[in-house]
Order: sequence, then C-alpha cells, then structure tokens
Amino acid sequence: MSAQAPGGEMVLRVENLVLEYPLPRQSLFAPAPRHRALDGVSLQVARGESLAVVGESGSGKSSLARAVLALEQPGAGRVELMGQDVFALSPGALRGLRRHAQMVFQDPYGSLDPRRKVGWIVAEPLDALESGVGAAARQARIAEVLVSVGLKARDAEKFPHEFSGGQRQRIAIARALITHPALIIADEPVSALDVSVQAQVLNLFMDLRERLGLSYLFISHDLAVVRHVADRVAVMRHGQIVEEGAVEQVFREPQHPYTRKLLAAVPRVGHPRQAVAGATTAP
Amino acid sequence: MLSEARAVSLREFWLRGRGQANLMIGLAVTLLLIAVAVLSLVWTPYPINAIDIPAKLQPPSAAHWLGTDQFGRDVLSRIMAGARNSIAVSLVAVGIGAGLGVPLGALAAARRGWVEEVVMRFNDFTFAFPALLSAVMITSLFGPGAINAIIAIGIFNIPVFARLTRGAALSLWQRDFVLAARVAGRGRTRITLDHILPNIASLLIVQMTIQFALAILAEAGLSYLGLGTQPPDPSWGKMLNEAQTLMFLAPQLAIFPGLAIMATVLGLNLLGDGLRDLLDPRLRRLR
Repeated sequence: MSAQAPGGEMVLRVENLVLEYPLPRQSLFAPAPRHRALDGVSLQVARGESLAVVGESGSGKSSLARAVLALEQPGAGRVELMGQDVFALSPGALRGLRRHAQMVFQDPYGSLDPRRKVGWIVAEPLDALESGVGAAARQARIAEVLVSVGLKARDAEKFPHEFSGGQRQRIAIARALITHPALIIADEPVSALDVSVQAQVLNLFMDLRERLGLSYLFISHDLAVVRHVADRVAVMRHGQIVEEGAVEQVFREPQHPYTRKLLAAVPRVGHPRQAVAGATTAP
Repeated sequence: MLSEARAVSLREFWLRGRGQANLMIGLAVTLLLIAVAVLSLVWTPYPINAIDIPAKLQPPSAAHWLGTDQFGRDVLSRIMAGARNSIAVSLVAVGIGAGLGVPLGALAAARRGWVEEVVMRFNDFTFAFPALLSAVMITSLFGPGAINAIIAIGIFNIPVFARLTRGAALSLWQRDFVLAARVAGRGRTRITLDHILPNIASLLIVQMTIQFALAILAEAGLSYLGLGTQPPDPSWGKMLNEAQTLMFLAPQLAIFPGLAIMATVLGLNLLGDGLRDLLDPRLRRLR
C-alpha cells in the first residue's frame, strides 16, 4: 500500500457537501422537516489511493456515495471528479465524466437485473458511455473484464441467478471496470457476503488496484475490512467527518471519542489481516 | 439473444406450470374460447342471422344443439359468433387500457414531481366514477354501438394499468440495478424500457387476463342494457337481454349465453390466478 503522494493528482475532491432529505410532513401548516444526511463533508482521493469511509448505519456513508456520483442533488458544496465540478456540467458532459467513476453496490442480488444476461449487464456502461464500439470489440471487452475478475468469458451468456453471491459481486465489479475508470466507489461491497467469500472479493479489489492503478472510495462499517483495503480512513458520524488520517495511525491512536468507541466495539480487530490473507482467491 | 432468453423461460413456464390445476383449466377454457371464435369466422352450424320462423323457440335437439331463439336462429351459431365479438371488444378495450395506462404509470414513476401528481390525480378522477355508469354515460353521449362500448370500457382500464405500473415501477426505481444503470449513464427512458418494463411484464400479463375477464362482463352488461353491440350482430349480453321476456317459455335462451359468459370469465380468472402463482417473484426466489 503506497502512501498518498503529496500534491498528487486528485481524482475526487468533495468540499463542504450538504445533502438533506425531506421527511414526512408533521403538520399541514408547517414546512416538511428535513433530515441532514451530509453536513459539510470534505474529502479527497488521489490517483491510486484508497480512502475508506467508516461509520454506523445512518451516518451518511451511502448518501455520500450517491451524491458523489450525482445520483442525488446536494443542497450545497462541490464534488469534483477528475477536476470537473459534476453539478456544474451539462447532462451530456456529466455522462462523459461517468466513464471515470463507477460504483459497486452492497447487495449482489439486487444490483444485477435478473432479466438480463451477464454479458448485457457488464456491457451496460460501455454501451451507454462509449459510442462507436464495434460488436467484436464489445465482445472482447466483455470477455476481458470477466476474466480479469476471475470469471470465464462464456459466463456472459448466463443469467445472474446461475451464480453465487461472491460470483455475482465479481460480475458487478466487472461492470464497474469495463469503461476503465480511475475511481471505483464501493458501497459496503462485501458486507452481504459470507466471511470466506469476503476475503476473496477483498483480495480481488486489492489485486485490481495494483494491476490497474485504481482509486477507491470504500464505504464500510467493518473496520477489519477497512484496515485491509484502505490507505486512509475517514470516520463519519451524523453526516460529518469526525476524524481522518492514515489507517495505521487512526487504528493505533484514535483521536475522536467516537472512533475509540467504534474500535472498541469490534472484537479482535487486531488480527484481521492474517484472516483475510490466509484465504484463497479461487471462487 | 432475446429469443434465446424467451425460449428458456417458455420451457421453464411449461415445466413449472403443468402441475397447477387452476392454470391448466384456465388455459384450456381460454384456448377453447379462442378456438371457437376462430372457427366461427369460417364455419358455424347455421348462418348466424338466418331467420327460420317455423323453427322458432325450439329446445335443444340433434338439428339445433342449443335450440333456437324467437326468430328461429340457431343459438349455438350465435354463441360461437358472440365469442368472437366478446374477444374483439375485450382485446381492444384492454389494449386501450394497457396501451395508455402503462406508459402513463411508467412516466409517473420515472419523472416523479408534478408529472406524477397530474397523472395520478387524473387516475383518481377516472376511478371516482363507477365504471359501468360512466360507460352508460359515454354511450348515451356518443350513441350506442360496439365501438363506443369498446372506448368506454377501455377508458376505465387506463387507471387500473397506470396505478399498477406506477406502483411496481416505483419500487424498481429504488433497486440497485436501476441505480447501477444510472451510474452507467442511462437516461430515464432507456432505464424504463431496458429494466423497468421487462421486470414488471409478468405482473402486467396477469392483470391483463383479469381485466380481459372484466371487459367481457362489461361488454355483456352494456349489450344487455342495449348500449353495446347492436342487433342483428350477436353478442352474449344482447342474447341475455332478448331472452329475458321469454324466460319461462324458453329458459335455454338465457341459460346458454349465461353459461358461456360464466365459463369464459371463470376460465380467464383461473388463468390469471395461475399465472400470478407461477410468476410471483417470491416463488421465483425459491428456485
């Protein structure tokens, strides 16, 4: 794990992001109350760097992922992907930018359309974002990403229900990789998987990062996972980042009381690396 | 690629469906109805409007299996032609309902905001009228006849499909695979066509069979009231109407069209229930 190069190229820069959701109206005459999911969040991810965002459920982690990919319109703040402000772009320009940032979702059973074949699913970002890819080149790209995540090229002809949870998550990763993005946003990508499969998928994430020079915004509530995949960690609570720093430092000397509480709440957080490294990568 | 996917699901459909009694009975009755309607295009035992006064009001016999009516017309021939009429009216009426209702519901779910409000309030407005009364209103405004009956029944199918589509689509829009398509840069229309509609197709098919049964009932009701199909064209509802005054003299005139309506509606409802059992996503999960 290489440390972040000072002043290196930033693939993602988030500044003072505020995101509010309207809640059900309490009274006919009062305005609907709002829940502040993100309350002035700032962070950045350099090229090749892996930043983990940790926090309990409801702390705003997933809202952050959605806002970064312009799936939600924030109330205030900026999101810069590859140096471009995503909320200032025209829809067409934003589409062009999406090629560089893709997402892996938590639930591999919900993130693949059950009615589409794997090849179609994996190629969807390619079909939507890159024009003029010929049929042969398209097939080759599908085969290439499937192989790169440890699946077979002929798996493109199958339907998602023919695969296990871990394999489905590999399909989801292949879909995220097909446009050769610089940044992958992974929202709890292993928390729905069995522990043994978690290790395989995490190792795949690490392996891909090394091979392709990817940056990760890795969202998780599992500190053992975070310690394995991240260079830096940001601790979120009530929509704010309460502590941020290099993983080893935060784990060794947590500054914020909430971080200490999180660390104390995880049993045997000191030995996750052996457990993960000991597993094999075969699906 | 698409045809392959369809072939797989058709085979699977047959393997899983053949053990279900209600589905198979419903399918058999519905296929019989279609077969009779198609047959009536090329052959009926007697010409459907051939008047034979000496042979009027005969009970069922070898010459006239289901007897004759007050003009000596063969009841079996007229029931066969009536099936054609019922199918045509229901098909077009359900077509109007689904053809307008599904896009409206999908639009409401995809756009949200004021578009959704307008579509759904229009739906509420249409729903607020009792369907048959409004059909009476429409046919009395534009005159009785099969075409106006079709339009009247069709209009009242629109909100049924719009609501169903919107509800199902809204839950799909929250699913991760739709979010993934948005991250992939797909627009709302493409997502609706590629992901939403294929995933609610089975739901819509089930609803169509049920609406089809309701449309057959509605057409019979309107024709019974004299607002649907006009004489001398045969219609099951019209036959019931004409049988009314002869109830005690020739009860078979009411019984056979009544049985035809009942069997058809029952068959379509069984088919709809069977399809729902077969296509229920919770059952699908068990695979």
